[in-house]
Amino acid sequence: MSWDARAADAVIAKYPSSRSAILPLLWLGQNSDGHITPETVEHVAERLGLTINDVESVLSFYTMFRRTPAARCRLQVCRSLACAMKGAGEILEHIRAATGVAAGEQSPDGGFSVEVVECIAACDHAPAYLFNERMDGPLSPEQALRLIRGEGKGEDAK
Amino acid sequence: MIRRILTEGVDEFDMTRLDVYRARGGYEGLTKALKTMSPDDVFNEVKTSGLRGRGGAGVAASFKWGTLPNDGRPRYLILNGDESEPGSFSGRMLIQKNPHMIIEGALLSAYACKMAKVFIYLRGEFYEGAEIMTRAVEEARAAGFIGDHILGTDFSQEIVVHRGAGAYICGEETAIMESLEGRRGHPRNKPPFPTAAGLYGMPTVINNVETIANVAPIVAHGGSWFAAIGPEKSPGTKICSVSGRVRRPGNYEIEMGTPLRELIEEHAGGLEPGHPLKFILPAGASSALIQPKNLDVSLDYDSLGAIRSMLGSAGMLVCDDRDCAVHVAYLGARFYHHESCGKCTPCREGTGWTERVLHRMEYGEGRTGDTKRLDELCRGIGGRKCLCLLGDFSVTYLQSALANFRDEFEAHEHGGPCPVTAALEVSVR
Repeated sequence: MSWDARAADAVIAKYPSSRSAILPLLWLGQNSDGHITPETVEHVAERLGLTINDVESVLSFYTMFRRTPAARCRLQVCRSLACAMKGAGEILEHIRAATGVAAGEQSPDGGFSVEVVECIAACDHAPAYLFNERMDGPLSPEQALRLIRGEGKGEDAK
Repeated sequence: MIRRILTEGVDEFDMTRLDVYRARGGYEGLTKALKTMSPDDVFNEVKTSGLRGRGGAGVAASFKWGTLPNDGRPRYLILNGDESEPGSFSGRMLIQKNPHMIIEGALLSAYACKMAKVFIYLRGEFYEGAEIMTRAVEEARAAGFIGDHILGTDFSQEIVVHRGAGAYICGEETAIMESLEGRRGHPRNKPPFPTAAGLYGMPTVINNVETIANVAPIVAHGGSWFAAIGPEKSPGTKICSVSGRVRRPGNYEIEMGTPLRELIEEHAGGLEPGHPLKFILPAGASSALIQPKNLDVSLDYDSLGAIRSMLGSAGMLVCDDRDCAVHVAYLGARFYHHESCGKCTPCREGTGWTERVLHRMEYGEGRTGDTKRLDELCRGIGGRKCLCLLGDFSVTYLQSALANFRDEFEAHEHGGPCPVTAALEVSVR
């Protein structure tokens, strides 16, 4: 747990109303701890003069905040229109058949997780994906396996 | 035809760097405006240009700006970079490749409208975009373009880069304000419109990042220069995002009025070999489909409106004979169900119901009467029954598909595999 009070103050100072800093402060917490801890929620509530429930109600609306530690390799495959048309479903099925880990699950050792996300505005790279924080595509089934096994960027040999 | 104004040089040069942007004429418009023009002069150039909102609705920028009340309250400008419409990715490219043009446009717009503060709201998934934009803002600040007494004048302006955290609905102009105020992204009732009572209850303008980027070249070259580009009522260029079954998916900045056929067949390289065009969604998942017979339509707000579709954000999703109209409808319905914020009943309940009906049709469990059931659902959800248009958007394509491919829907009523495609399901919710 590393709540950076000074960084939090700098964020709050940017806004005409301190409550606007909820999302940036939650991002601060998630970036430093890997996920949103109960302590982060308490700090945000206390600093902004809100109740825990106020913060929780905002937090629970936004899908990018995690309540549990993230896997080391997080693969998020876009499942929206262009990506589904270009084989996102086949990639997820390939991963499940090869590793036993289905979309929405984490490997038992916590090494990787596979998630589906809605459109990430990368339809020109369909099937697109986010690997940790990097957006890219098109993803092939083989590259997906290399990514979750931690083999670099998993790019196909050229 | 291709006409690069917003994307001029972005493929050849690293325009994210301030020195490169300036070497290519960047910030000259701002310098000219601050030294020789009044805020009203800048407003009038934008009015003369005829610039219309690029986010989807196509409202004239100067109309929105012109409705701000003159009552001394602080005013806010929000740049909408919460691009989340399936099929739209022009904002992502502009944010990543030409952030300074967005910043310069924002400063000019803020100057014209006497804004107290500018917020650039970027969707949370734009990790790279947020980094690039934040760096560009800091670089511009260090060079004296942001902050107090910009370029030694009386004009001071702050720009805050604000990240969302995963919610399509925050691209809606009232939800984006709720989100910026630190709340769940629930749309507000209108009226009052944001220009009367917006962020923190103050007069607020929300413009798409592409709209605002246009203000920089408009001020640099003059409103009448811009007004002369493309059709009279839809001047300027539009960055079209083309995806789906084309050989060269990507962003193409075209002069307004360019035929859709030219965009698809020339710039995007035509369709993938061996498969004929079936339909195009011109403004992402939210738009009524365009049939191949209308491929010669001009890409501008009014021409697409005339064939009962829309230019919107110009996220063109191209579908060929491998794409089942029901499957595409299911993918859209699943998206809208996932993204409905849950505030209004017709949308909250209707999007889920629609998804379930389409799912069973596509995956072999269709029931007699399901096509008519979808008609009823469209009537129940659409027709502006909710605070925002997400519900209406969720049935726009569906209604056009039901009208154009009714036999395909009816063929899904009898169970068995999809008669058009054996698409795999991505069924995790």
